[in-house]
Amino acid sequence: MESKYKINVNKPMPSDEEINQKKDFSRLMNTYEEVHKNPHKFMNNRHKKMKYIMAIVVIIAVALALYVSGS
Amino acid sequence: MAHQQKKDILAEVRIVEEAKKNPQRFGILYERYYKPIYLFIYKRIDEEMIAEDICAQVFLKAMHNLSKYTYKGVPFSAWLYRIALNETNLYFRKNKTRRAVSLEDAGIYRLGEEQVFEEDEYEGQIHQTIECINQLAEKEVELLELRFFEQRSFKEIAYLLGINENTAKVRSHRLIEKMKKIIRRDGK
Repeated sequence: MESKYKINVNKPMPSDEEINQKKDFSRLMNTYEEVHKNPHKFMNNRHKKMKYIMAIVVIIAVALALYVSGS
Repeated sequence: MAHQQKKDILAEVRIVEEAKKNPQRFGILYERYYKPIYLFIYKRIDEEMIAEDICAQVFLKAMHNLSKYTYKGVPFSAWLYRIALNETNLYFRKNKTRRAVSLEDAGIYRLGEEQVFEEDEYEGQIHQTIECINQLAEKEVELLELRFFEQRSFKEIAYLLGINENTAKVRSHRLIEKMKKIIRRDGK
């Protein structure tokens, strides 16, 4: 049976040099500025779902109001 | 984990306040914490590229939410680790991949000090730890890592897990008792 977790014992970690190669503050700043200018572009899934749910609720409410006023 | 002095924490809070007004100042914090945050994620993910992506996401979120950070007795680094823990857990939930656990000698030694093992030999202790971890829930493994393998204080653990300090102590005690029980039972 496959074990529940992938367990590493005394596994060497990436070296300082390898980690430093991944570091890029300019890239982070660029992404930050982009997100800051266009936050809607980077809306996360939860926000998107909420937006759809709100739209459906509004449609149902309008339909109900029309139905009630019609009858 | 190195514990920060109060004056260092407060000096860092000043940098955070400056970074709220001038995002370029965040570079100081990025340089300071990139490595520990990357390793924190890497130990749990065990994939360099994915750890790098999550790490970038952590710092982006930190920059974006910096205005929400206020000093409440825990250092700025704890706030970053909390974001890192949440992002890592989010990755596991989305991708349903197996979580990695990094065992190191110092952590095994600390568990030994709690009289968790039936074995005196190091190899036996490693074997018992692995057997035991495979029977623990993810939340328990998370606590085990934070307390025994990363040697964090109960105060910081409480902050990271969003619980109070006493609850962190009680959970840690129960975890040790559970590990002892598993090891005694499996040893028979």
